[in-house]
Amino acid sequence: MISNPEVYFFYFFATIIVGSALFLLFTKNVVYSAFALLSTLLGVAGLFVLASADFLGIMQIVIYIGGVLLLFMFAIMFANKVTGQQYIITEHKNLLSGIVLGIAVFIIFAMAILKAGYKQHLSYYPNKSTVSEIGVELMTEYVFPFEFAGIFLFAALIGASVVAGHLIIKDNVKK
Amino acid sequence: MNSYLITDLDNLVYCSLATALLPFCAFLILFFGGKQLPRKGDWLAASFIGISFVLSVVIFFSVWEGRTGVASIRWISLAGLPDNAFTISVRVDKLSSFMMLTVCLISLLVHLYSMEYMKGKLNYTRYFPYLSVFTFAMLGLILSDNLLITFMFWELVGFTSYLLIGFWFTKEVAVKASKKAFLFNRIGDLGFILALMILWSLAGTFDLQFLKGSIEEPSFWVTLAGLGIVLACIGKSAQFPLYVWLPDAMEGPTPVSALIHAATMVAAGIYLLAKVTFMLGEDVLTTIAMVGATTMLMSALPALFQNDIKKVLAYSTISQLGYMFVGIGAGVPEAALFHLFTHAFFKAGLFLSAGAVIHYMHEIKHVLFHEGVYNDFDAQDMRFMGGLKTKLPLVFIVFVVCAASLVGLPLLSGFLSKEAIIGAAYNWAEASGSAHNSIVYYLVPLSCFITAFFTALYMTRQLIMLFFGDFRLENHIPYLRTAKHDHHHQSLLISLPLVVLCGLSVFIPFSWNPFSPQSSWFIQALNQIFESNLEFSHGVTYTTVALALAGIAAGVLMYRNKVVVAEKEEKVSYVTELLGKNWYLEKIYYHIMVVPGFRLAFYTTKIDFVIDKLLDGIAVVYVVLSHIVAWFDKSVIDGLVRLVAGIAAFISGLFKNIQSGRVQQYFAYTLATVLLLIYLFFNWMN
Amino acid sequence: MIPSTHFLIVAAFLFAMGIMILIVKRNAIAALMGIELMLNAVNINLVVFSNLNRQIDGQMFVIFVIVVAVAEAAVGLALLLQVYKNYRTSDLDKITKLKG
Repeated sequence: MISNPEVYFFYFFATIIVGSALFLLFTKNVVYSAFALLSTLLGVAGLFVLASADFLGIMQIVIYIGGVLLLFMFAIMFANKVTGQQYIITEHKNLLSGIVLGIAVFIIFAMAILKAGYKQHLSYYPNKSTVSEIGVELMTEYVFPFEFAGIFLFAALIGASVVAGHLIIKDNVKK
Repeated sequence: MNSYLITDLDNLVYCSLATALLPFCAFLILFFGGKQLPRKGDWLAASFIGISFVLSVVIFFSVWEGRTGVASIRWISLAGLPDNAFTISVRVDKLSSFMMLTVCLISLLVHLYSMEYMKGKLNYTRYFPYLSVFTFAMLGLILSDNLLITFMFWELVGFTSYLLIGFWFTKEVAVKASKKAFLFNRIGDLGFILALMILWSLAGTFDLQFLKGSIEEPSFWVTLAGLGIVLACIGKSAQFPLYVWLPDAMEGPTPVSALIHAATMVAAGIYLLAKVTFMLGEDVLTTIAMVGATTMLMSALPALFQNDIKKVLAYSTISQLGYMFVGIGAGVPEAALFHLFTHAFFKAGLFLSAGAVIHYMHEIKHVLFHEGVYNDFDAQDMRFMGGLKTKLPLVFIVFVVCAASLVGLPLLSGFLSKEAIIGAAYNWAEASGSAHNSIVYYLVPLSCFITAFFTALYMTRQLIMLFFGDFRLENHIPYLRTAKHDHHHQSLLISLPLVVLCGLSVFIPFSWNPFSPQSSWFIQALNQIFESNLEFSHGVTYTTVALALAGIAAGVLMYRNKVVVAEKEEKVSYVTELLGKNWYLEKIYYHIMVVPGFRLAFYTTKIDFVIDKLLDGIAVVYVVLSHIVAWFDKSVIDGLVRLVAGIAAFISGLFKNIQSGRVQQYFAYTLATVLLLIYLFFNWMN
Repeated sequence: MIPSTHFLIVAAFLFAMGIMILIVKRNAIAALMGIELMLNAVNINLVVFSNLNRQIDGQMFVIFVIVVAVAEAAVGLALLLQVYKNYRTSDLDKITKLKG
């Protein structure tokens, strides 16, 4: 058969990612694009697992889909309420420049990668769990960024609350 | 006596300048401060003139011994002209000193006379300054030896006479008369200016002494210059055809007429001609004689038909001036000057006595007004006078003597001077007639004879009308017959000048021999200057005297029993009308000169209208031009500026779109730039 | 196993898609999704290289990237809602107060 059948898993997740991203790009419905983002992130989580970063994969799903996407959903609903439109339908502007730039970026990156020519293959450690390793590093080597991230999250939390705080959806909204 | 004479020549000049300037000082003082002086300062003017007269007497006697004072200072010196180009020259010789004496004496007498005559009349303050400045102008003219300066004084004399003739400026007739006098003098001055220009270009100087030396032979241009001066003298001395101003100039006060028109101003022309005889060629002299002859006859005739006292005397003056012109033309300037000398005295005497008569009539008018009888009769009309022999005896005597002198009766001064002229004219006619084989020259002495007859005729008429017969005013105003007016007191100021002038009209001051002009000291002295031929024939003398007596007889016969009723419609004959209106000369002049002048002025106003339209058109063109320029400025130049600004705006607009405010575009541009940088970096690395 | 270039190509693709979405979408929330995609692409790269180097540092970095992404998404969305409230429109082309 094939030398390494893990590639098929890779192709599966890659397809999910590519398809969802394309769908995200081409749909006009913002809610649809939010769901496309969800499936894209799922695909990315799968890729994480394939690269033996299992803790990260789970964390990706939990945080992104459980947190960020929820946030996006609520934001979309609130935006709908605020602007008073019936459906969130967006137009696409600057299609040409966007596509051209995107393709240019992709070409540059692809050329760089292919030119660099990484011969190595990703290794796969099914027995080893990275959770403990990450935990140990987090508490010893990376404790300062860890604490800092905590404070940072805290600040972001407060900031978001302040900015969005008085948003009471009524007909006459007063600050 | 000799010790009083002035021997030093410089002193002579200074004295003569003082004589001339004293009246000018009187003028300045009286003109600016006359109101404050008592009696308005007439005694000041009279005393200044008196001092001038004394000085002129002294100068006269000093000069007559044989001295001549000449002074000449350089006035303007311009580069490129010889040194004697512009000079102010003063010449005190026999000619000018006797003229000065005449002018000062007559001016003094007129001042004294005016103090009484003009008393109480209007504008008394201005009268004496005007008289003084006139005297100054006349003296300046006499003393000046430079033609330009003479011209300046000539003009000044004309101007001051204008002031004096129009003295009573509220009367429109007087104003018109003074303007007329000035304008006719102006026409003559045109000739003077022409002569000045020609002389300047010929000789480069105006000084008479230099001119005398440089002009030897009268050429064409010199003849022209001489004719120019003759024209000036025709204007000033009232010859044909410019004499029409003199009768109208009688509108001035009588003393003014005496001073100006008898003695001084009209004599200025004769004086000038005498001074410039050296440049008058034979043709010019003939012209002068012809002009004089024509004038004397043409003005003697209207005198016969005038009813105004002063107008008769005015025409008589013109006639006598004609005699003087004939004298100059005949080549005997000393005879002409002699006649000028004597004429000054007897004519002034005639005028002043006429003034006394007028004064008497004015007084009657005043008395009548006071007594309630208002009758505004013309005080100068001879038809209201008559029989004044008993009422004004002194005036009568003076008038008779002066009139006789004018007529040319022997034993009187006028006889001497007239004989001199007529004799010389006859000699000249003989000489010229035989030289040119023509009878025309005899017309001159012929006209002299005829005029002598008519002179006697009109003077007799005037004498009879004034002094003989009834006092015709009483016929006009019956009230006078009953009114009792006492004997008229003649003021001394009026009587004294009359007596003096009367005395000067007899022969004694002029020559010891009453019958021969050649023996006059005057003629002999001036003969040294002019060196002319003075042999006169006796036949001429007898003829003249006979004609004069005939004229008197004719006058007596014609006018003795004539009761001239004033204001009655007389049957005026054609001759009376023609001569009374002075040959209709004024009408002719009006139609020749004035009407075309007005027409020309009218047509030039039409042209002016065209010019106005032209100017309007030019203004419109300017406005249009300015609009075009404004349009050009606005569209082209501003357009250029706006173009530049537009280019800048366009270019900036191109770049402005980069900052559209749309965040996604910012991101796109930034990304594009980064990719470009990567590409370049990539190229550079390789 | 799986060649690393595959992963890297996918990551590059995801990155390009993120750029495209960011530029093309008119709704700001949709554009923010593009940013999430870009961050995820970076995460993939980091994980791949952590695997290749047999070190755990890459994955630590990924943790912190995720943290920052979450914070940024939260605050960004809150801000966006305020912007929407102010402008009463969700069309990004109409929010041009930054126009030069």
